[in-house]
Formats: sequence, structure tokens, C-alpha cells
Amino acid sequence: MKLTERIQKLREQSLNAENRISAERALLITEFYKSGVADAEPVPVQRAMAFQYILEHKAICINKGELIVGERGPAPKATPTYPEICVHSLQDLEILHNRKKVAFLSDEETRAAYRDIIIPYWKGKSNRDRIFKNVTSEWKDAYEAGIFTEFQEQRAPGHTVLGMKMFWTGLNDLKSEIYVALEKLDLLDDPEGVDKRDELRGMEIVCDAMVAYAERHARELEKLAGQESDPKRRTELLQMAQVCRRVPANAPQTVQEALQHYWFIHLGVVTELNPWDSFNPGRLDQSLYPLYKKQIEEGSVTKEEVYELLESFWVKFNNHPSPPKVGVTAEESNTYTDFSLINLGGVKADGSDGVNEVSYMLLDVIREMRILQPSSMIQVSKKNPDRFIREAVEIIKTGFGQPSVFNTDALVQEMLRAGKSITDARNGGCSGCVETGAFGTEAYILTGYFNLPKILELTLNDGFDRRTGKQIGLKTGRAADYKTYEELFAAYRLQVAHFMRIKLIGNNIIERIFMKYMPVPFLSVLIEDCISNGKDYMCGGARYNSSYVQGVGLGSITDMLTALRYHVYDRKDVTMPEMMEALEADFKGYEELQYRLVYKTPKYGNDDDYADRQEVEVFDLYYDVLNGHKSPRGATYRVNMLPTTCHVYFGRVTGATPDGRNAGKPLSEGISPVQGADINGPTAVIKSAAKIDHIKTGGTLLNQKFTPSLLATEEGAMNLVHLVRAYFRMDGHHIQFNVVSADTLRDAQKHPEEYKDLIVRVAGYSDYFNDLGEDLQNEIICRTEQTQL
Amino acid sequence: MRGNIFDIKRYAIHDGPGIRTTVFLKGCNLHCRWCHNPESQSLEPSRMWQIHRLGEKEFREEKMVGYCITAEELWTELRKDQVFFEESAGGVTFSGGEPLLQPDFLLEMLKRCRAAHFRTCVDTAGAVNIGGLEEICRYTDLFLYDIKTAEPDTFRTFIGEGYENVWDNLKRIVQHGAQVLIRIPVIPGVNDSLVALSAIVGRLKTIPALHRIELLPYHRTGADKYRRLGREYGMGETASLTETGITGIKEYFRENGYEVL
Repeated sequence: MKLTERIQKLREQSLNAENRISAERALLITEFYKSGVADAEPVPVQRAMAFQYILEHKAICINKGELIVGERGPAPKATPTYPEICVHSLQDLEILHNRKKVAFLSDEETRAAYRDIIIPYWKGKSNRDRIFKNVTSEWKDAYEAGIFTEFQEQRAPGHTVLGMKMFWTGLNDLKSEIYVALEKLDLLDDPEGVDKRDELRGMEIVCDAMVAYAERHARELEKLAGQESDPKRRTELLQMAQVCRRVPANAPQTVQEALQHYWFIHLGVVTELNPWDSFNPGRLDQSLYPLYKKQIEEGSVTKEEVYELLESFWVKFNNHPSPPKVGVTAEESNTYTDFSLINLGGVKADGSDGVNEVSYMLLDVIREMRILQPSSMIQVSKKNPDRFIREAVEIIKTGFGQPSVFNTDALVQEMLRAGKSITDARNGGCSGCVETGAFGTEAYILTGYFNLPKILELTLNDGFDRRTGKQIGLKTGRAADYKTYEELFAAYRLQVAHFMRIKLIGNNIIERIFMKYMPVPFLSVLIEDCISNGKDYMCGGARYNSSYVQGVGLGSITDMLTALRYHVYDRKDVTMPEMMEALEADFKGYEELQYRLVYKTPKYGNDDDYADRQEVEVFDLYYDVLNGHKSPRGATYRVNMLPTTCHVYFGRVTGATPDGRNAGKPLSEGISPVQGADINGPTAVIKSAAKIDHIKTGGTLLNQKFTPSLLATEEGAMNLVHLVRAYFRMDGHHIQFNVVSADTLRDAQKHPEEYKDLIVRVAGYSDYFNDLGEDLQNEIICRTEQTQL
Repeated sequence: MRGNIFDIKRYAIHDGPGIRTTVFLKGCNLHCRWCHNPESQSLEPSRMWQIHRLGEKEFREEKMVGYCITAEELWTELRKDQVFFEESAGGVTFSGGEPLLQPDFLLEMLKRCRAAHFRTCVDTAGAVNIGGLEEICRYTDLFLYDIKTAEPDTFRTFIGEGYENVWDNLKRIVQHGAQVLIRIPVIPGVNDSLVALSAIVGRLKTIPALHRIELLPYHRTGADKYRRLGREYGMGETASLTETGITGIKEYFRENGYEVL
């Protein structure tokens, strides 16, 4: 299926558009709050009215030739900001404008708006200001030491996915539900009755606001149709106007309506706030199939037309880079991707094979479009055919890094364990990088990464952080005091629990701030049970509520503990003082020891029980200190193991480690082995990775790099299918493949201009290789290649 | 029971169908000049240099290649990838060296594999005179059988003794009804001439049950190992062949009615 000329143009346009900061949204929300019209209203109504004000006044953008309309900013890649969450300083704008990777341009007008209007109004009263004012000093110390990060510091909690039901529901239907809920309110005896009324009023406003916003598009489309000379396009524009009048007010009746319906909803979510991760249509093949089938049968659409619609839809995601950060992270974090992860395959609500014709069509779209966003994955259940995986391998082997591969049967078990109904579990999937969720019914919020290796460094130094010069951990003793491995590990356990406690208390404070000041009535109407509960998404209104702290560096911490156990305690060929001297010297003058640590020590990722025992021990520890805690909104904490790119930052704040790693180097990512430590091939990696109990998590990330040569033959490609099946039989959650040669990447570093299209799998997502920092580029290069000698 | 091996390789995907673990038994009665596993030839452990890099620094150490392993220890290793064998219809390949030089150990391992429903391959050059070959056939699902030449003189010059054993054993294996894949290393100047190839085809035709051939283009991967073993590389500067470089030879076998992988 080749791309049509129209789609090629749209794709080029999207690839060539430059990222810009758009002050439009920031100005509108400032105007709104300054006007004082909502000062007397309760917060949910205020927020709803602000949302309405933005949608009433933001520019309507309709791009030439497109079939699905609506932009987050006034033009493709014109990116709004969210000053109520965090305010960019003029210096931030400067950095973003000039940074080498993923720059966001800002013109004089934008800077003036920031200088004269936006900054003066919001300075000191953004949510970020509230957060830093309210967290404890021990939280700040640990945060600055790089023990953990905080997701909600610059972006709102979101991290959710539209459920299939919303593809068959219009906002008018939701309004009826809101009226029913209002009717049922007990304003007399329910202590939360009034809060519920306020929330439901907000919900009603946002539904109307969104329908009116669609109507603005309809009118603009009609205007354009009037000016259009090409009769074919004129008809198209008029038909699109009709679509915008039907959805999102009513349930979609055609594939085009369904895609436009979702897209308006998506725009609503990312205009209301800047949630991590943006938003996600989830099980797109399942949602579209009934409409597709009906339309094909009645002959009201052709397969070719559906391809064009899907591809036009695809471009919309790529027009939205991730909102740029503020402060130090503006300089360091240059992720383009905003984590929309489209799920294909898996099972239907009744548990049967969910792969359908649209699943295969979407694989075609992914292959032909080759753009970063949306990201894509396949869910693989034991009920899905091998052919489905095999078709995905055809895309994987081109080195695109998509789709990643998930284990439906494990996801369903994970969700059942966490208390979801079997139907909600089967209708779920994964979003972001690898995060399990019940789509449309769950608020599952990621709160930050947790640096497991750094805490061992502190354990060896009596809780003292040499980098920041602060005593931030417990005084559990100095390295030489631990006479046995068990003593060492017991101290490590205390330190991990100590920092988790600090993190979770911080989370409680931050969650309260969001509950109080940042309700999201629009997102709330989309997620089931928020309406009937009369409660916001932020406040526990969803049917299921989970929170996560993401463990980072499982491979590194395993190898660190293993090295100590092996050399210091079991073989006693290195003393603890000698080890500590070597670490303090960053192995300068201790190269012989470093060599032994790197080459003569059991390592995680080789199916070696000596090393993997520590893997399981650390995982169980992490689970014990986190799983089951409750959050203010009533969510339950669960564990997951994924780093995005945080293993690079966490490595930078961690000194030399007992596994022979030099100070500042990246840690291992996800549950993958330390870069280069796996020398027994992919089956050994998979066996090691499967030793932890994935079912007790909400997601783990395993990255395997393959060189194209391994997949060139039909047999080679099928072996990848078999590897996936074997890992999933052992309950593995997720695996992804980076298919590229190290030489190609090295060449790309030298000649970036020749590799502008080179996309690599970074961690839970793909990114342009050129956009990655040099350290991350180097790390990707050194990840073990599973080459056959 | 014990055997001598020098390597166990997991995710071996070029030594038979599916995902396999290949056991390399140590010791070979041949000394093919192009052998890319020269460390496999002697039955005793061989000394080999190994160089590891750590940043700018190089660490050079002497490593003994080859060790004695009990059947039980080896079995523990083989069982590790059971799930992959099952998913891919793969299994275990016994290669070498020459696995038939340790027939008792080989048979013991083959029996264990059969009992666990692992499919087995034996990768052999067949240039040995052994008694229990039929028993080994019973427990082997596929022989990867090396045919290097059908010219006795060439065999003696480049490979070693046992030329007739190669063909006798092949006949015995086929008569026993075992599956065989003929593997022919294509070596420049040794067996890539039309004369040499037609001799191979002529001899193969005398065994009618053979249909499938895999050609292995000569590769210099062994050169570095000879250096590290302190031995001279018999192939001099002969350049590696590529897949495309042997398409003509592939075609030749196809024309003669063979399925070429």
C-alpha cells in the first residue's frame, strides 16, 4: 500500500514543520483568570470555564489537504504552554530557542507576551511553585541528590487512555449521564454532595465547550469550501464540516467520524492540561473494526479511502511534539515524543482473538508512514496467530523501532491481580512506554523514577552523598562494617525503604495540590465512573486508581550487589576497603580490579543464577517497600520497571559502582542487562529477565538490540517470533527490538546530516537518533548486539 | 560419564532448524586448512590468547580452551533453553571438533535429549570409523553432514585421513533412514572448480535419498584465532566469499536436482 500524493505531502509538511512555542493558550488562560469572571466559582467550574474560554478563542487551523482536522496550537508543531502548571522564564525560552536538539523557536512577540503578561501574572503561583513550597526538606535533598524524580513537577498527571466505549459514545450521551448523576445527588446528607455538584457542573460546561469547538471547525470548513476551486476538495470539505457537526456530540457512525471524534477528544485533553503522557486512542483496531466492517459491507467506503483516513490521522499526532520543559530540564531533556502508544491485537472482551483486518491495515500504515508519533505496539496473546507477529517483525526489522511487543495474557493477569474485572482487563493494554492500564476506566499515574543503584552507593557510605555533600540517608554503617552480604543487604533494604517513604510522602503532598487546584473535568467525563461518582479524575473518580514509582537500574544494582557478594564476601579476593578506595578513585590506578569486575564477575542477563539471585532479591525488596501503599485520592501503589531516558540522568549523579562502571556513566535501562554485560545471547537475557515475577508489576521494559543480519532470512525472522512466544510463556511483560548495526550508528554520530531519518528505539519509545544527547547515543551503540560470530 | 567440550552456544540459529543450543565437542581427526574453529582440533585443552578492552586499556590474558564436563552438568545447561526449543521446534546440535570421536558421551546426551523431546542434530564430517553409528542414528533427528570434496587426493592434502569413511558413513546413515542435510563449505582453490563440483555431485548421486544441500561460503573468521593460538593460518590471504559470490555454485547444484538452502 503506497502512500497517496496527498498523504506524502501531509507527511512532508509535518516532518518539515519547525517546533515553535505558541503563547496563545498561555495568553488566553491569563486573560481568563485576570478577567475575574469566575472568581466566585468553585475550582472545577473555574477550570471548566477556562477550558471553554480557550476553545472559544483559540485559532482554528485547517491544513491543506488533510482529512482529519484540529491542532493543539495555531499551526502544526506550534506548541502551547501551561503557565498554571509551570511558567517558562525568558531564559528558558532562550535555551529552548537555541538548544541543539529539539529546539523550540520563539519570536519576539512570544517573548514580549511572556515578559509583559504571562510571567508577571503567574510567577509564584503556578502549581510548580506550590509543589516546591510544600514538599519537605528531606524530599528536596533526596530530589537534588538524584534519588528520585518528580513527574508532576512540570506536567499534570494523566497517563491514561481512551476506552473503546468512548468510540461508541457522544458527548451528548455523556451529558445525559451528567444530568442523571446531578439528579441522584444527595445534597443533604452526603458530605461530598456539594463537591460533586460543583464537579458535575464543570463536566457539563466542558462537554458544551467541546461541541462548540467542533462547530467552529465546521464553519471554518464551510468557509474554505466556499473558496475552494477544486470541486473534489470542495465536496470533501463540506463532508468534513458535516462530520464536525456530528462528532464528538454524537456517537460516530463511520470510520472518518470515529477518527475525527477521537481527535477532538485528544485535543480537549491536551488543551485542558499537559498530562504525562499526552493521550492515547488505545485499542484502535478494536474500536474501528465494527464501523469499518459495516461500511465495507454496505459499500460506503473503500479500503483505499480508509488507508488515507488513517494516515491523515497519523500525521496529526506527529504535529504535536512533547510540551517543552522549564528550568534545568529545558536544557537536558529533549524528548520529542509525547507517548501516544497505539495498541494492536490482543483479545476481545470475551477473551477471543482480537486480531482483525484493521490490525493488519494499521501495521501497513505504521510501515508506510514511518513517523515518530503515534508510537505503536502489538499485543500478543497466545490466541493471536503467528502471522500477526511475523507481519510486525517485517516492520521491526527495518530498524524503525516500532512496534514494540506486549504480552496480553500477562497484562490481563496483572490487571486481575490488581482488582480489575475480567472485561476491563481484556479491554486494557499498555500506554506510555510499557504501563499497564484498564483503558477508559483507570487513572494510573506515574509519579517519578527511583534510583536503585544510587541507594547502594549511599548504603556503602553510611547514608552520606558525596556529590551533594549531604547526609541524606540513614546512618546504617560504613561499607567495612558489613561483615556479611546479608548485613549489607539488610542495610540496603533500610535505605530503600527510607527513601521510598520520603518519595511517597512527597507524592501525597503533590497529589493533594492537584486534587485541590487542578481538577480536569474534561478528562474526567471520558474516564468511566467519574461522572457517576461525581468525582474528578484527579480525585479518585475513575473506576480504578493506581499510582507508580518507576524503579530504574535493575541490571546495574544486580551486578553491583553480585560483584560485592562474589569478590568481597564469597571469594574474598577483594577487601571492602580496597573496593571503596577503587570506587572513590573512579578506578584510576585500580584498572586491574576494574577489569576483574567487568570481565571476571557473574553478570545479570546471562541466565546465571548466581547473579540473577540478586535481581530477584532487589525486585522483591522494591515490591515490598512500595506495593499496596495508598494515596490521598485512594489509589493503590504498584511497581513498574522502566526508565524512559532517566537511567542516563541517574547515572550522571551516581559515582563509580562495584560492577566496574565508571562514575557518571549511564545505568542499565528497564530490566535490560547492563550495556554489554550479556554475552550468552538473547535466550539467556530473556531467561534472566523472566526470573522476576512480572505479574506483580504494572510494566517492565526489556530492550534487545539486533543487527539486521540476524533477521534477514525467513528463518531468522521466525526465530524472533519464537523468542517473543517463549518470553511470553514465561510471563514476560514486554520486549522491543532495536534492529541496527553499531557501525551504522557510529557513522550516524559522525555524519548526522546523512541520518536525519534514523529512528532508534530509546527505551519505551523511539526517537530520532540525531536528537539524542551524545551520551545516550553512545549508550545505544554499546548495548549488546546479538551478533553471531 | 564425561566428555570434552570447548563451548556451548545458545541461540545458535544456523546449526539446524529453529532456536538451538550447540555443544562443541573437542577433538577432531581432521585438520582442514580453513577450519574456523582451530581450537577444537586437539583433544586436550588449547592455550589461546584473549584480549579485552576497557576504555583505552587492553588486557591480554591466556585462556585454556576446552574442558571436561559430566553428562549431568551439560544436561543442566541444555535444559536452560527448553522453552525456546519448544516454541521454535529447535533443539540441541552436537558439533565440534568431531562429535563422533566421543560416541558414548554423544549417545548419552542424545538419549537424554530424546527423553525430554528435544530435537537433535549431529554436525559431523564422518571421517571416522565407529561401531555404534546405527545407535546414534536412532537418537538423531537430523545429521548436518559435511562433504568437503569427492577427490581423495584433495582430501588427503587439505583435510586429512578417512576419505572413504566419509562416504561409507553417509551411506550407513541414509540406509538407516535418518534425515541428512549435506553441508558443503565452498573453499576457493579447493572445491570451487567445475571439476571438483561435478565430482561431488557425481558421488552424491550414488546415494539417492539425499536431496538437500546447504553451501557455506569460506570465511576468514578463523584467521584471528590461529594468531591467538600461535599457529599459522593455512589459507594465507585468501579472501572471504559472500553469499552472492557463490550463486553460480548454488545454481549448479540446483540444476542437478538438489534443493539448496
